[in-house]
Amino acid sequence: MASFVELVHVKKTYRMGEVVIKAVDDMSFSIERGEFVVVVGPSGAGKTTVLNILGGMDKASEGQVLVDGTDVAAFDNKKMTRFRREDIGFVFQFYNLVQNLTALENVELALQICKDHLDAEEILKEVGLGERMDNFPSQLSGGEQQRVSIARALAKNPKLLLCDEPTGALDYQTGKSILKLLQDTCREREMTVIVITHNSALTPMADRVIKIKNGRVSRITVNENPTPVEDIEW
Amino acid sequence: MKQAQRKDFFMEIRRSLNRYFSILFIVALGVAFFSGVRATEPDMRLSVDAVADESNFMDFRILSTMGLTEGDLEQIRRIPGVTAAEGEYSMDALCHYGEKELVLHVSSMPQNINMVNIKEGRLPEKQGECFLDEQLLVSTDYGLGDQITLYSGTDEPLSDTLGTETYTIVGIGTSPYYLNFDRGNSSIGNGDIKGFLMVPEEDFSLDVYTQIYAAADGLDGFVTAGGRYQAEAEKIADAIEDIAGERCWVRLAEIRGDAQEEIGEAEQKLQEKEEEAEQKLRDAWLKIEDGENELEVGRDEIAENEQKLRDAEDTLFEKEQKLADGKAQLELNEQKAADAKELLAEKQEELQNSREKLETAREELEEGKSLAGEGRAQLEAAREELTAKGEDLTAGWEEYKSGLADAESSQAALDIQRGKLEELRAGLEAAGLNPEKNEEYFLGKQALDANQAKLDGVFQYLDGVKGELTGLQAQYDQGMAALEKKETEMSEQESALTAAEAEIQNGEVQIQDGEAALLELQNGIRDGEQGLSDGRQEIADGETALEEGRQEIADGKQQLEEAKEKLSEGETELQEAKAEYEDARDEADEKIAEARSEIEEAKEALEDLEEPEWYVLDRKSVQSYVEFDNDTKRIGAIGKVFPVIFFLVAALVSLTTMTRMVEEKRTEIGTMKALGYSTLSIASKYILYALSASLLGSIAGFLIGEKLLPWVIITTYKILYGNLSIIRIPYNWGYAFGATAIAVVCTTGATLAACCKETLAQPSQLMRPVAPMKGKKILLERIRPMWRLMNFSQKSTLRNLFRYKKRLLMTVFGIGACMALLIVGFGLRDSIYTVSDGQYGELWLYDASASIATDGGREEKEAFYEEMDGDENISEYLGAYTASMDGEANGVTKAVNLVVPEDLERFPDFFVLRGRLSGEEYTLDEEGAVINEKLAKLLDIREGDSFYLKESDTSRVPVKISHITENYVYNYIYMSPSLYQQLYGREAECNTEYLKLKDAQEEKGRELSKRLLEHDVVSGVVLVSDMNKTIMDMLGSLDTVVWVLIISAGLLAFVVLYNLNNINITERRRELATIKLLGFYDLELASYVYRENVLLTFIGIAAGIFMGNILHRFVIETVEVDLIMFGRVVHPLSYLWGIVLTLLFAFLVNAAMFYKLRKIDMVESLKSVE
Repeated sequence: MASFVELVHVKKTYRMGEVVIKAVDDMSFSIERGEFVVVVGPSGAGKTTVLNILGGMDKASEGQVLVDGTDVAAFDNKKMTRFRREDIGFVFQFYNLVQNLTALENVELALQICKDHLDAEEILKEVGLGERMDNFPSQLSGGEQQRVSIARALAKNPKLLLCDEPTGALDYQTGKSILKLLQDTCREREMTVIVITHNSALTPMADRVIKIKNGRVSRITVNENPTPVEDIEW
Repeated sequence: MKQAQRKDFFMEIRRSLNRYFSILFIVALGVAFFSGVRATEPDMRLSVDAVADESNFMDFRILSTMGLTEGDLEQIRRIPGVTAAEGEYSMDALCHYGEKELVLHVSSMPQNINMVNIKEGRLPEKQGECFLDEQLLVSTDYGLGDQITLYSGTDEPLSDTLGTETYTIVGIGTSPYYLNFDRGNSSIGNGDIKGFLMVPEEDFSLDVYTQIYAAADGLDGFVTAGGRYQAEAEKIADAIEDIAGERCWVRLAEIRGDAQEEIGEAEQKLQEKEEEAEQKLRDAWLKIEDGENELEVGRDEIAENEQKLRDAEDTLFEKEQKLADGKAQLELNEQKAADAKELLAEKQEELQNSREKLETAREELEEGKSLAGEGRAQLEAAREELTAKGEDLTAGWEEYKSGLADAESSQAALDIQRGKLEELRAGLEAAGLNPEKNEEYFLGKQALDANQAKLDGVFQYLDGVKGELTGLQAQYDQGMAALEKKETEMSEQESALTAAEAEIQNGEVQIQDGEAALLELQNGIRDGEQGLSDGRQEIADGETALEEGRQEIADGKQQLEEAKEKLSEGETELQEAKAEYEDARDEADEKIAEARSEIEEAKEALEDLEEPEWYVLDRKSVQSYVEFDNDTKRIGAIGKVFPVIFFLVAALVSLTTMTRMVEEKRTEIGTMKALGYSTLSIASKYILYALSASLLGSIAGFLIGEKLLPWVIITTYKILYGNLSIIRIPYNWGYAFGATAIAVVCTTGATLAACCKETLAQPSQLMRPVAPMKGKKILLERIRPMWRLMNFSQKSTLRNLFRYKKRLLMTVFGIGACMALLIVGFGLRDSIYTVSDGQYGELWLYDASASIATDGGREEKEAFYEEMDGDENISEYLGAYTASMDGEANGVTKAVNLVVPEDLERFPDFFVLRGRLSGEEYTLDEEGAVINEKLAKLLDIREGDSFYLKESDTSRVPVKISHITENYVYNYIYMSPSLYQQLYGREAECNTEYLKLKDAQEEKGRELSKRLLEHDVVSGVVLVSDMNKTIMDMLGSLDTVVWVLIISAGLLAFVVLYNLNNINITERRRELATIKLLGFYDLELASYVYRENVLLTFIGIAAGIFMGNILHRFVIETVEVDLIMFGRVVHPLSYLWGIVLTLLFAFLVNAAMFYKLRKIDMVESLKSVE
């Protein structure tokens, strides 16, 4: 059986005037359904490009990106958009909440365009924001904002949850609780979660760790017994 | 600025050319409008001043109540400051042009002042030549070499004023005295001066100047309406007025001397005439007295004869009366005789009838009698027969009875035998012997039985007889009864016959009596007829006598009549003689009185002769200059408001754009600061950016605006001011610098402020992302039920709207301004076309008007009206008195046309008088006049107020205003004939006919006009279609303005919307990127943004409608000229167009924005906060 997510010889080059930059150079890996995956690598290794390609925000220059058997790399703009709205949930470093909408409304904003979604209030309660639904982002702490962001992503009931440095803008404790939320989600909902980070301390908690260096996969490790988040220190 | 910074600056401009040019452009637009429209006012003044200076237009005009002399002129010339002065003779005269009568203002040729501008030909050089007003060529086709013959419009002959009557046109041109086409009013002709005519001074035979023009060259450099000019001019005017007193005294003395002499002569002459007249009158009176005496005698005679005749008539009348009575009696008698005869005949006939009846009765009686006799005989016979039968019967009965008795005795005998036998038997039996065997017994018994049988037969026979007898008895009884009945009948018959007989006898007696009476009657009738015939004879005699009497009386009357006629002839003659005498005396008296009063008046006038007065007038008294000045002020007023809108929008837009730009460059500023650049040197980039854009824009703006806009506006005004031959549009540096300064300061100042805010912060702070604008609950959310009703997108739209309040305000203001401008533009068109549609379509229902000469011959007039009645194209016409007058109230004087209709009932078929707003229709009455709205406004009067109607300077009549009517072109006052009569003490004479045509097409109208003008009484025909065309041509130029407004509105909308949208998208890039990333399609994303824009656009439109209405009203009221009132209403269609265009502009901008939205890079935007 084919893997849930599979990158096959993916390349991505940017052209900046005269210079051609290879952000991703022949990358291949696969991820199974329901896995908690950490993609780790130093700055400029091409993590974000991988995320963009996986999330349908950017196109691979070469190679195949198979998500649940479909080649995302071959999509046109419109199909990419549909892919984004139906199959992918995003969690960002800076949360990217719409400032002018309350927590609940931010979730609803995503649900508006999504057919097979979950209940917004329910999901907010699940992430622990049952009491703060009517607050604006500016009235919430960073961790809370990130929870809203996760709720927004989860409510869409996506196939794949992509998280780009979800703890990057958070303090240690809060970051931990967010990671816990993500891990729990993965376990409880059997959701495939991909976390992208430069912090290799997080690797023990993953089912699968993909290390990236200079646009290539340097190593893939499968943890048979992932450590719970609580036990990880960095 | 360092090398790197300089490079960075230019790079910045290159990278954001869009923004740079949008600032530049909107500033240019604002400045162009601001300085351009504002510069128009001074430019207009400069232009008119240039015209005045070039023609050495007079600065002062001196008029006197008694004319001005050569001496006056000399004195004025000596006044310091006055560089030139010259006298002018002038008068208004009439001339014929075809059938038309034109009023011309004839004046002497100017020498140095008010120099004419020659368009064709040359100036007049000798007597009999003239220089013609170019304006006249509009209404006539005069050309060089044509001749014009003038005639006076008053009782005074033309020669009193003008030596020559006929002039040859040698030159055509304009006079600086008239800027526009209005040449003023006159008291002659139709009152409307068509143009001027200048002739050499020698052609005038006046001995004093009408007016003196003076020029002060020292004032030439100043703008006429400027304060400096006014101040200097007033000084000189004062100096002129200073000498006025002395000059007037001199003039008065001169006039007094002349007058005294004239009065003396007149008195002398009057004396002589008076005496002469007295003598003549005396002679005439004597003759009249003789005649009167003769007449008295004749009158007495006639009276006597008349009495006699009257007596005879009375007698005759009495006789006639009697005869009539006799006749009546006779008729009565005749009637009676006729009645008697009739009665006789009736009686005779009656008698005859009776006789006949009697005879018949008698015959019937005889017959009855014989019948009765026969009956009786038969009866007797029957009785006898019956009696016989009775006897038989009785006999029968007797027989029967005896038979029966026999039989009964036999029976008895038998019965005894039987008894004996029985006894035998009993004995036998007792003896026990059988009786039967006993012979005795047997034999006895046998015999007895035989006897018994025999007796039984007898009895039987007897019974039969009895039966027979009983039948016979019944028959007999029956016959007896019948006989009795017959007997009774017979007796009755017989007694009836006896009665009839008696009746007949009675009838005979009656007939005899009737015959006797008849005889008597016949005798009576015969006597009556005799009497009647006698009466008839008598009456005939009486009538003959009467006839004779009548004849006599008639003869008498005839004679009397003749006598009377003679007498009346005599009387008439006398009367005439008397009347003649009276007339002669009155005439003489009147003449004498007149002469005396004239002398008296002259003396009085001389006595009262006030010192003449001088009027020193300056350029402000020249109507067309005043109007031009007003128009200039109007443009000035527009310039104060209109461009401000543009300017405000421009300033706001560039301000927002620049602030935004600085905010966007936060990180860069932080970096620069971190690198150690000074605040000033960092800010200088942005300030320079704003400065260069706004400065370049301003320069372009005023360079183009100050040339283009004044030129367009003044050129448009040239249509009204034909003589405005020079257009001066120098750069007005004041406005240019002013506008530039404001624009630059606004933009740069805003930039500086933004820079300060940013640069004052610490670099570290700057390089950190700015805290996003906080979300807030809006007020609307507090209204829970309403908020809940809205769906998600509506909620977020509303929240976003209120989140970016600045943008909301700006967009609403920008769109509102655009909408307002469009409304003004289209509304202006509506208002202008209302003039034509309203005036000529709804208010004036007639199609043409014809001016009628009031002095035309009666026959000619009749012929004209006959033709009007019969004309195929005229459906109706209405006569009216019309005149050009001036209305004055509150110190303002305006030209007004008076219309007094002849027929008030049909007046509404030709003119609609109604309140513009109320729509209520008015009628004319005796109470007051109806004036048009514009005039009321100009004179500042209302319904119920009064104002003065001036026919000329000397005739001023107060008129009450009963209503104010809707009217768009010219000023009108309508009044009823009775009101006119009341005001002027004379009847309004018809001098205009308003016509309604069956076919009002231009061609048909012209044909009619030609037909009518063939009549001498018609002095002019005006077609409404022509008037409409003239007005439309005049107003057509305003269409340019409308287009300018529409284009500017479009530009404004585009620039504002583009800018604001641009800012909106940049500002919310992150949010939009997030939304895009969440999987919104491009169109969904666009609609997320556009929903706000659409809502704002609609709010803006609503605001624009409101602003536009106010602005339209303001513009209309300022641009209006005195003679025209524009419509005040913006049509719904114009609103629709405004909305459609605004939406189109908004749509275009939003469409352009769509590409910008698509280009948002999600990945980049999400990375970090810039």
